[in-house]
Amino acid sequence: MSASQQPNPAMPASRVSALDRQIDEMYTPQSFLQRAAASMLQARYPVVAVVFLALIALCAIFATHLAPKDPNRVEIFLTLKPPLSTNREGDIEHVLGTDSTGRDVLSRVIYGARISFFVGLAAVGLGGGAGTILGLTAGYLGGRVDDLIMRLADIQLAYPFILFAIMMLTILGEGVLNLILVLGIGQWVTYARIARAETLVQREREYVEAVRALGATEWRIMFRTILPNILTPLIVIASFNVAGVILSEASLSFLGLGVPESVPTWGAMLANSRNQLLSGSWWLAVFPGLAIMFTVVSLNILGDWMRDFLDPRLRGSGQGL
Amino acid sequence: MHKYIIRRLLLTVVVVLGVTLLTFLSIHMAGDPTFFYVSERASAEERQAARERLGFDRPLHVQYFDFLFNLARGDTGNSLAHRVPAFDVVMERMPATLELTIGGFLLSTTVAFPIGVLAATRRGTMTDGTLMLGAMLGQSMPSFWLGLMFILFFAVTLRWMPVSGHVPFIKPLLEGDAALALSNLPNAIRYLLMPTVAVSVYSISRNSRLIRSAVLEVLRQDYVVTARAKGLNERTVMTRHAIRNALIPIVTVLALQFAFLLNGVIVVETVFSWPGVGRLVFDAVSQRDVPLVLTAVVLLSFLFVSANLIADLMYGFLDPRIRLE
Repeated sequence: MSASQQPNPAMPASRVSALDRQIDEMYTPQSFLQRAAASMLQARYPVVAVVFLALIALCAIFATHLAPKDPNRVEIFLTLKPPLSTNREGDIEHVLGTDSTGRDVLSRVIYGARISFFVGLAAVGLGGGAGTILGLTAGYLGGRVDDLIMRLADIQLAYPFILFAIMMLTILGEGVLNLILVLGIGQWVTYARIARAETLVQREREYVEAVRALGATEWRIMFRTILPNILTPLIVIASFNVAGVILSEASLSFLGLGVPESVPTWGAMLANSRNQLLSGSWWLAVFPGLAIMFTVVSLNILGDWMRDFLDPRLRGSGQGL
Repeated sequence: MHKYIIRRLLLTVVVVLGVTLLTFLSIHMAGDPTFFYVSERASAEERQAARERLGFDRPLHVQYFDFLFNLARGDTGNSLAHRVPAFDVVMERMPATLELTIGGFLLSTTVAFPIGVLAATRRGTMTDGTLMLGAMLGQSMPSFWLGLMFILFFAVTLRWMPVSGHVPFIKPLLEGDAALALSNLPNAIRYLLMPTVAVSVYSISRNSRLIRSAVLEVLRQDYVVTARAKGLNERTVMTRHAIRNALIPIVTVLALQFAFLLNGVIVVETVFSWPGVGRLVFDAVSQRDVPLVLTAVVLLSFLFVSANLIADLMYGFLDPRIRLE
């Protein structure tokens, strides 16, 4: 970079003007949102991801209006209809076909967005919030509290998450809140470790010293002074984490754990499709899977962009993805 | 170094103990497990008799320490549902799970490595872009869905592969019957292929992205510039200078991915009706088979912790600058 900023007589005029523009941009004050939008447009993929996620979010929020049919309506004379098959009048009634009990696949895919989105965001909020507070406390207070919290984290890391989830959900029973609780507990360690490491660094800084000299309470130092300064890496992790949680939720629904049978989820749709695979009902397995894949890939692309934009230090550190 | 290993081993014991305590408490919090082992119409006396027979009448801490002392002697107690030692039930299923996990580990490592290095050396080209886009997609697919797609495409439509089933390889090997294991091998691989690929696509994608950035990081270092400046060819620079140093972060990640693989394996086992531990634990929890759940969890978390320990030790071995204390 430093070499290209040297005046170079051999540089073509177009590059000089590009450089001028770049320097102009560097000195033009811009709001955070403006810079974010510019960086996103430049990277292109994140724009597509945001549009797709907005669509999925719309499906989740307005499922009752967008879904062409009641997702639980059983039509025993219309079972296993392939996508785009026409009825006697020649109309297409089920765009993505029907399942083994005649339920409309498109409506179920639309409704499925609800659980994935809601559970994904809520579990990350719960796990991220709890993990951040615990990590911050461990890092700031140190000593026995630190030992206790971090040993708990070690124990949880040694526990294969899926085993933990199977056990907890079998015991707690099905329900969206239980699912969120279990998935949230599965996430806290990542946040706690990062929050702790960042707190250990920030705690020694002069500004913390200054606030302490002003007579701030420990509580205030932890949550008003240090917390805002350790948030960036945590936000970056959270954006990838939503994708991870959606995948986990799908796995658990696939195993038949989590939400009641009457609530359509992408994972449970895939579980039901398994018995129909041999008869060649491909649409039952393909569409819910594509819905999961496109949602998760969008979140990952967004996470990648957010990491590069907010905290380029994390690039390649193995965090998040 | 020895001190470090001893301390880590002690920590491992503490962690595995914590895992057993957590499992024990949560399974008992769900209510009296006796109810799963008496008929619905059993009288209060009959229930009490069953409770005493199963040992659930004793105080919790007595039950827990009893389990621990027996475990230390190598006795895990009988599985309540299978009525044979719980350890034997788990070990009966463990080889199948290990086949899938080890297969996934080998596949994801051997495939991810060339992809990552290739993408790093061709940074910014079409090759890099395509590989990384593929990796991004691979990281976003649930492994069980991939399994379903494989069944649909390769087994149902093309009829190239069996839909499900399992031919043992590790089990006869452990029983000392090498001849049987070897004759089973071609078929074992045939049945392993689809589940293994389904399990490892996520790891392959994740690892190739990490390997790419590790190699790129190293290529920026001064010693790589020096190596190029003194006229070494690109191949020597890559193999002798770049990749060797990039290995340090990579090895850690490879060992840590064991956890991810195992999580995936348990779900994929369901897709392919694979006779592994995943389904076993699932059923054991639903039946509140306390000894069986505890044994399976102890064994699996021990595998987990050992893999992490090996990763840490390798770290110090590959980079002598890192002192493990």
